[in-house]
Amino acid sequence: MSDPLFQAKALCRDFKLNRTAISGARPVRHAVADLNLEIETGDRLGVVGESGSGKTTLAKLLLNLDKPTSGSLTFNGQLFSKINMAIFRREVQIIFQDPRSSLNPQMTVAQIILEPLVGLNFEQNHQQRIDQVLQQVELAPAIKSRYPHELSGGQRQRVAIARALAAQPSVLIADEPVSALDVLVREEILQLLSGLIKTLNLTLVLISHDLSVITRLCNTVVVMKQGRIVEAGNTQDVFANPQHQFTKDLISAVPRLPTLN
Amino acid sequence: MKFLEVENLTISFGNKVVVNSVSFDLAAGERLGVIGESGSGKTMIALAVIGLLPDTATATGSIRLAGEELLRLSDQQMSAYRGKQLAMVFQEPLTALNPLMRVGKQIAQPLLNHDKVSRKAGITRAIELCASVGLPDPEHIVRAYPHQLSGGQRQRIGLAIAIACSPKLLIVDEPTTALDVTVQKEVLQTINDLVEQQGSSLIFISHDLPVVSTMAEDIAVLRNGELVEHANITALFNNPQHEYSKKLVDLARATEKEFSDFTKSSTL
Repeated sequence: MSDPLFQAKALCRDFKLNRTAISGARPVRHAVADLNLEIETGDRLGVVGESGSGKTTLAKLLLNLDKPTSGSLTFNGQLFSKINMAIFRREVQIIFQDPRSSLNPQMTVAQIILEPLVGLNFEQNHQQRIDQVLQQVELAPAIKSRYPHELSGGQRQRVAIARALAAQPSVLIADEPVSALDVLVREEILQLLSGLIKTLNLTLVLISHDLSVITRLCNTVVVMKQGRIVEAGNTQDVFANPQHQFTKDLISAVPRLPTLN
Repeated sequence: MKFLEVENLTISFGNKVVVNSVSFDLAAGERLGVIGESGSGKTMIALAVIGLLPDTATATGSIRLAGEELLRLSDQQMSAYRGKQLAMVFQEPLTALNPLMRVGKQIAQPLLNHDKVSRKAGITRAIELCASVGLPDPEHIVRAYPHQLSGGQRQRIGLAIAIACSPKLLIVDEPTTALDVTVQKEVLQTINDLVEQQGSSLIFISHDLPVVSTMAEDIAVLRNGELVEHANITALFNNPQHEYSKKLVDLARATEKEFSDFTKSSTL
C-alpha cells in the first residue's frame, strides 16, 4: 500500500506562555496535542473548531511553516525534516484569511503572481502562466497592473487564489478563505473554489469555523477541540450523526432562519 | 412621535457621501436589524446616532431621540445622553476597551459619570452587571485587564458597559463577527434577554441575515449608503422588494436548506 499524502503521528506543538509566578517552569499551552491524522491524495478535508482549538497551528505544521515540538509528520512517506523544500512548495500552497494582509501592497497583481513562478522555477513561460491563472480565477487581464488596494475584497481573494495556484500545486491549504468577505462575495468565491478543486483535481485542507463552508467543499472532516481531534469522518456522517457533545453543540449553534408562514 | 426618528440623514467625508438621505424610526421597545455589506454605511449611521462620528465627517438631516434633536447638541451635551439614554456595543471589543484599565472600572465608569455613585458602589454594581451578562466568577473578572479575557468575555464586558445605566436605546454593531458560533449563540441570547428585561429599543447591525433575523422584527437593508428596503421580517423573507434584498434572502435560504439537508440523519 502506498503512503498517505500527509501523515501525522502523535503530533504536538507546545507554546510557552508568559510567567504568571516568579518561580517554577513557564506554563505551556498545547496548541496541537497528540494528533494523529492521515490525508490521502484527492481528499477534501475540513478542519473545524473554535478559535484557539489549534486549527491554524495544524495548518502551519502541514505547511512546514512551523515545527512540531514532538511527533512526526510525513509528506508522501518522507519525513518533513528530510524534505526538499523547493519541491514541497511546488506541491503545497496556501490561501490565507485576509487578502488585505496576505498580498504585498507594494506589488502589482502581475508581480504578486509572478513571485512564486520565479521563486519556484516554474518551467513554462511566466507571463503566459499569469494570464492563464487569472483566467482560471475569472479576473480580466487588465487587472495585472493594479495594486491590491485598488481591488475589492473579492478580487483580492481571487488574486490570492491565483498566486496559490500559479505554480500548479496539487495540494491547497485554505485557512478561513471566505470569513473576511461579504456574504454575496463569499458565495462567489466558494463557487470558484469548488469549481477549481474539481477541475484541477486538488487535494484540499480547509480550515473554517463556519460549518456551512465545510459542508460545501469537503468530503471528510475533523473536529478539533483544545488541540485534539474529537471527531473525524465522512462530512455527511459526522454532521448527520455527530457523536461528540462538542460537535453537537457546534451544529446546533449555527444560526437558523426563523420559521415563517 | 416615535422614540427615535432619523430623517434624511446624510453623512459625508469631504465630497464622498457614505450615507445618503436615510430615514427610519423606532418606537420604544422596538428592535430594528440593519443589514448591508462592508462599506454600506451601517456603522456610520450608528456612530451618527450616538454622536461619535469622526471629526472629518459631516452629518446633515435630523436624528431625534424622544423629540430632542441630537445632531444639534454639543459634544458636552451629547455626553449626558451617551451611556445614559443610548449606548453602543462595538464590533471589536479588543479595540473598544481601554487596555490599561481593569474592566470593572470601565464598567463602573458610566455609573460614576451619570448616576454619581461612589467608586465602591460602582464596583459592586459592576460585579452584578458581569453576572447579568453571564460572565463566570464576576468578583475576580472585574479585576482583570482586557487582554486577560477571551473574545467572548471581552464582548460581554462591552455589553456590560453599554447596559450599565439601563439605556433606552441599545445599538450593537456586529457584536459577534469576531466570535465563534457557539459563543455567538450565547452572546446573542444574552443581548436578547437583557433587551427584554430592560424594555430597551435595539438597533442590531450585522452583515449576516440569519443572525439579524433572530434578533429583530424589522429589517433595514442598506446598500452603498442608501436604505433600499425597510420591512417586517416576514415580509422581507416572503416578498423582498429590492433586488439586493432578494439576493440576500435567496442565499440565506439556499445555505440553510443545504445545511439542513446535510445534517438530516442519513439513517432515515
